Amino acid sequence: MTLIEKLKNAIIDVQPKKAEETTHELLTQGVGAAEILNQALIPGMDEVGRLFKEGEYYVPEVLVAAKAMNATLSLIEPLLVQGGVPRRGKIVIGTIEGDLHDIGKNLVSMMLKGAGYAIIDLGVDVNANQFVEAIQNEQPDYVAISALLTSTMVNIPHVIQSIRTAGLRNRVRVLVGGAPLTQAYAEEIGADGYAPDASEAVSLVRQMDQARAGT
Amino acid sequence: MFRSQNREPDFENLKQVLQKKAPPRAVLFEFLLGENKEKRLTGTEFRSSSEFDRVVTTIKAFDSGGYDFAPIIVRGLVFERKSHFVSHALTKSLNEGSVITDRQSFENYAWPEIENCDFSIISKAASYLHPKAKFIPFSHDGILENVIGIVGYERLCLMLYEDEPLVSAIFFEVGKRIHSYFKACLSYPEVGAVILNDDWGFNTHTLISPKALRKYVFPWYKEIVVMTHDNGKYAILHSCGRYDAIIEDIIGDMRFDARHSYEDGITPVEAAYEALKGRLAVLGGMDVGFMARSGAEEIYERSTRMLRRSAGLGGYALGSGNSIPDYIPDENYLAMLQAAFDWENREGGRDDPN
Ligand code: B1M
Repeated sequence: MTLIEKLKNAIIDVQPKKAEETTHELLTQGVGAAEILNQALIPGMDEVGRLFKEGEYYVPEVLVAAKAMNATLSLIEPLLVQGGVPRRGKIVIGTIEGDLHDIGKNLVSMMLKGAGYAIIDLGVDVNANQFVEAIQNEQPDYVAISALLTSTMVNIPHVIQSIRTAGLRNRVRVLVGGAPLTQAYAEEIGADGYAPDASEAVSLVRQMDQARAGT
Repeated sequence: MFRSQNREPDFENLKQVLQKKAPPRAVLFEFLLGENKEKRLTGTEFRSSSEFDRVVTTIKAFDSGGYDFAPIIVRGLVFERKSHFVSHALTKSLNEGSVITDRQSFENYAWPEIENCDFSIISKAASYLHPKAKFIPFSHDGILENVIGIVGYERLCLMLYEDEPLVSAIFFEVGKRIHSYFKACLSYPEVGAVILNDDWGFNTHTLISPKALRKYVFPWYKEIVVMTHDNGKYAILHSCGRYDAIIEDIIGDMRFDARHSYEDGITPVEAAYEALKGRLAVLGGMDVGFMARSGAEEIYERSTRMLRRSAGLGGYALGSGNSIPDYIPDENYLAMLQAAFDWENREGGRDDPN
């Protein structure tokens, strides 16, 4: 087994210590940060996402795998920046105003990070102005919004409206998710996409990337 | 009073449902009503200045709404967490309360004691209960919920991998207290059933793996259900989220009589009823989002269809998929109640109203 495979497996087998040690070994051997990201980290987290989707993994497994991913990422991130390796895209994420529920949002952030995206996490209870400001400052490709209850979900259209009013609507794709949301609701409020879970959020963003690259 | 005078509360009706039989009239079930809904149901009788007032108000609200029972919580068994109050927030984070982070904080944790609970409130409040109605006690969160509360959800997930003995010890301390709580409740003759309330899942999965639930959580509930049955009473599970991976544990292993909490995004109650009827009573199920966002007429019709589906077969009580928070418009909630009231006027509820 190559060291790259060893690292990928450490992520899939949810072993943060092993992931960190293997990353050190890889870097000592002169393996590039981009190779570590693209050959070990992203495919490793993809497999974790697949296992979650299939119901083999539960949130604890995903979180420990994300810990392994973060152990690697913290070592290679400065090198990626130094080497000018571009991230796949930038995503601003937050839980909607009035809502402090962060677990779903955190999982989505982790999976997207593991798929190579730069994540700007605005936290919880994020209002329309804060989303708009973040879009202006960070120039993301996507905005992802999470909600726990119907009573907080109804604040999402205000964000979309504010993005439109600020003249930014055609600069970002708005994606939504969370327990009370559905594809139908996403369409009703004019969001660009809905994902029922964290691994679907990754697939959705990838599909949209492809569609954008194709246009 | 919203119910008619001749729709008298009688726990025997709900008992029929819990025995998976067809009740003589439409039966209603709810776990929690928002404060404004209790105000609406009790009118000028609404009181909330003391704990006893609140208990009596709930009794009156459930009586007015046409239920055969009143839920009751005996205060005192609160597993202290850090509070993080945001005045305009409608939700909270499952990560925020975390106080047990390691062995040391576990050793220092001030565990609540069952002696803090004054169970006599059950018999004192019983004088306000309709003579044929019964209480259904529930606890201040369940075993998994309390462990998540004091450890934090994400920390608990990591701890399951990093310090399994500590996880076991925490579940033990919480589990034995919840067990004692229900043991005390069950000794009261005014109690007809218990609601074991513990959210185990979310829209796609259980919150921790079924394997972990079987190890840390289910054995306690199995014991509580045995104790409940030994007392000649009924055990209702209120647990949200996806449940297909654990349904056999719920029915076959823990032997619950009924399950409450259904969501359209997981398994709509109609499908759940078809899958579970005869094995487990199905309570509620009108999805909360549906009740919050649909028109009263749609709610009335779906409720009626659900009553028609279960008529004759039994094992079903009409209610929401989770609770009636105040963001469900009053008229939508009342439309569901009305569907139950109207149903019984149709030849014992057995004919097709359309
Ligand atoms: C692109 O952007 C994206 C893409 C995907 C995205 C995304 C963003 N955000 C999330 N995703 C997706 O990816 C994630 C991972 O795959 C997923 O994220 P989730 O956030 O869904 O999942 C997390 C990993 C874990 N999910 C959770 O922890 C939530 C689980 C369930 C069971 C739940 C729990 C645990 C709780 N609750 Co309550 N609770 C329920 C939930 C049922 C459910 N179906 O989810 C729900 C949300 N609760 C409900 C209710 C009604 C309530 N709850 C309440 C209370 C509670 C508890 C305190 C007991 C507890 C903690 C709540 C909390 N704040 O965290 C009350 C209020 C909440 C509050 N004050 O915070 C109360 C109002 C009950 C009452 N009357 O008091 C219902 C809401 C119905 C509605 N449509 O409004 C509910 C759906 C249950 C039900 N049976 O109907 C996906 O949704």
